Formats: sequence, C-alpha cells, structure tokens
Amino acid sequence: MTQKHSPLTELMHAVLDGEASDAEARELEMRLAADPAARVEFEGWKRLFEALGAVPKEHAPEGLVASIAAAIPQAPGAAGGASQPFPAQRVLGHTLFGVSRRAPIRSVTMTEQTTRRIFAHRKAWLGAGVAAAAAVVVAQVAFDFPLAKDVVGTVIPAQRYRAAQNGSEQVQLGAPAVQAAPTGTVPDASRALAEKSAAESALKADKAQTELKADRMQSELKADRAQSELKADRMQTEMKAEKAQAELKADRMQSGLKADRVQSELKADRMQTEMKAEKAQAELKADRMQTEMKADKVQTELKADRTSQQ
Amino acid sequence: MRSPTFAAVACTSDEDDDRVLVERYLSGDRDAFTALVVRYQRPIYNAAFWVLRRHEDAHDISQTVFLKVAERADEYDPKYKFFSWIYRIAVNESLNLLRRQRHEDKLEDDVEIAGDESAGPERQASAAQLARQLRKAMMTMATSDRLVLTLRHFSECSYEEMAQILEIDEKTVKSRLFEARRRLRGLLEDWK
Repeated sequence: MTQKHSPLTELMHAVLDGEASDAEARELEMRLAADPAARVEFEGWKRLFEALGAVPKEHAPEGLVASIAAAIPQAPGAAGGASQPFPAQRVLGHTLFGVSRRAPIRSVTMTEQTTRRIFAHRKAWLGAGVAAAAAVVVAQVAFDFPLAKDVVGTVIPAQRYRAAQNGSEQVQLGAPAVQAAPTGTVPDASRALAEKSAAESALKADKAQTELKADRMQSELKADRAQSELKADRMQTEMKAEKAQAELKADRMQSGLKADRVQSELKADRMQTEMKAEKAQAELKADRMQTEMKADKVQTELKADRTSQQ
Repeated sequence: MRSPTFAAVACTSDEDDDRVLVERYLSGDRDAFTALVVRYQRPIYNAAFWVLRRHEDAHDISQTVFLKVAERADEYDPKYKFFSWIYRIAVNESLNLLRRQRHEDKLEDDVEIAGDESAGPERQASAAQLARQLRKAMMTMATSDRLVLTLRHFSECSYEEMAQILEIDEKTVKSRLFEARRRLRGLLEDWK
C-alpha cells in the first residue's frame, strides 16, 4: 500500500539525494525557515540518510577474483580464440559448475543464446571426430598395404616399438613391412596425447599465472582501499574539526551579537532613563517656575491690597 | 552533493576507463577483464547479497555475472555506463535465482558492525547500534525495497542510473525510493 506524500517531503528527499536544483534547494531552505514542523521532519529524514550511509558494505570473499579470473574465456571477438585446445565456453562451464555446490541450478541460468553457442561448438567437435574416424576406415579399405606378403615369421611392427630395449641384431634390414605397417596410427595417437598433455600443462600454467596476477591486483586494490579509507577518515576528521571551528565561530558571533544587543538595550535603557530624568527635571523646573510665579502674583496682590488699605 | 565515501567503486566509477578495459579485453587482453572484476567485485557482490540475503548465493551470482559479462562483452553498448550494464545483469541474475529458490531459510545476520572510532564511546555505540538496526530492518524488507535502497545508498547511483538499471522511469524510481525509506523509518520506530 502506498501513502500519498507531500511535495514538500519529495523536495526534502530530492535535496538529501543530491538531485535537487539550486532553486529547489533554496526553496526548501526558505520553507524550512518558515515552518518549524517541516524542520523537524527534515531533520528526521536527514538522520535516516546519514545512518544509511553509515551501514557497512559487505566484503566480497577472498578468492572470488582469482576464481573468476581463472575462468575468464577468450574474448568473443578476439583472434586466436578458436585455436584454444578447448572451446572457451567449456572451460568456463567446467570451472563454474565444478566449483559450485549449486551447479545444476546455475546451469539453468545460462541464457538460451549461450547454451546454443555451447551446443554449436560441441556439434562442430563431434562432427570433426566422426569425419576423422570415417577417413581412417576409408583409408584402410581403399589402400592395400603389403603387410603379409613381405613379412616373414613374427609380427615385426610390434617389435619396432620396443626398439630402445632391443639390440641392433634384431633389426631386419630392408623389411618393407616397416614402412607399410597399418599400425602407423599408434605413433600419431601417442603424439596427439603428448600434444594434448602439453596443451593442458600450458593451460594450467596460464591459469596459475592469471591467478597470481589476480592475487596481485587484489592486494593492490586492498592497499588502495586502505589508503582511500585512511584518506576518508582524515577528511572526516578535518571536516569535523572545521565544523567544530565553524560552530565555535558561530557561537562566538552569536555571543558577540548577543553582547552587542545587550549593550544596545542597556544604552537605550540608559537613554530612556536620562530622558525621563530630564523630563522630570523640566517638569520640576516648570512646577517651580509656576509656583514662583504664583507666589509672585500672590505677593503682588497682597502688596496691592496693603496699598489700598493705606 | 554525493559523498565519495564508499571505498569500492560503484555508480561513481570512471566510465572511460571501463570502456577502454572492455575494448582491451575484446582485442584479446584477459588481464583487462580481470581489472574489471577487481574493480566491480564488491558492488556486484553487495547487490547480489542484498537481493538474496545469503553470502553463498551472492558468491555464486558474482561468478555467474562476471563470466556472463565476459561472454557477452561484444554486446556491450558503450553509450551506456558499463556499471549500469553489469549491475542490471547482476540484479536480473539475483532475481532469477530468488524466484527459483523461493525459500525462506534463516537469513544471515551475523555481521559485527563496528562503531565510528572517531566518535566518543557513547556515540560510537549508538551509531553502531543504529547501523545494526538498519541492516536488520533492511533484511526484513521486500526485495524491491532492498534493491532501491542498495542502489541509492550503498552504490550511490543517481535516479537516472537507477532507472537504467531497473528499466523503469525516473518518476517510479523516486516513488519507490520514497516508499522504501518511509517503510524503513516505520520499522525503526517500531523497534524504539
């Protein structure tokens, strides 16, 4: 259920989010100055925003970067990607699904597009395998290798592979069967195995190197993070000090203003008192003058009376 | 007016640098992609954690996201922020997993939150307590609330960036944020 919110509250949020324009910020300032209730509300929101900013962020677990770095496939568009001993997606899938406990769930998350890509590669490899097998069969059928007619006695081609252990006397010179042996696919297979093993070793070395690199980058990042946090701490301390200074200054100004005001009021009071005193003096003087005039008049009248009696 | 206090990069990261790294990766430099992983592992992990509320799941999703990004790096449109793109993938992956799981297992709430050491012991304790309460409160909120609060307050995304990531308009972003904060404040007041 949503609650209808006032435009003023919306404005408060926009200002606290840093999304308000200067004009909007000024408008809020004016409205807060005029409305104590709005000021209280604003302070409440401000506290919540500050507290949210102070909630510590989660740290990614150690080894996350290394595990991802080791599984990074060759870039989709990069040259040389196809010459990898294994398709990139396979390497990716192997690492991802092999490490996690929730592998089957995650496999569902793969997009249809990705899955299609993986299957396309699988199909290509399967196709190549079938073609190679067919070629071997065709070669066996099509060519008549002169095996039986030129070899006498034991199976010489089998002995060829133990040549390192045999003496030279056992080598049958001029035996054409040596060249024509249909078991010629055996050294090919062994070579392929060796190549595969070399490729795997290279891949392993590559992976180790990548992990090392990732570790190094992580260490650098950690150092950077520590530096940044230190810097932020220092900035915070400086800001706090500045704020305290500003508050002190403001207090002092306020105190100064207060003292000035008190002085002015005192001065005004004094002036008022003096004016009052002057007024009182003037009135007293006037009274006295009036009294003297009255006395003079009475004296004059008495004098006149006395003169008329005489 | 945003405070650059979140040590891990998030919405405030250098876009040009990201684009260069993506280009380098596309031309065959896998180290460039590792650099992107190093840069974004924490915000992505945080996003996944605040949607799923479980460290294990956040770890799995972080792996999935980066590998998916590597696979699709050629689909990245440089006219958008790289962070918005990767964050959107992280949010979608997390929501997908959440939908599939639909479990209400015990949530993780074992993180010790330290106080601000520069403050006095009393204030330190109260700040840490408030942070703990906030975290606890957020853990009980709806996913959409947690998502907008995380994007805005932990990853410092603007309304515009949030709109891009969540694929909604800015007005809806504002409204959702407002409602989430109001509910969060309500929860905190209930606990007083």
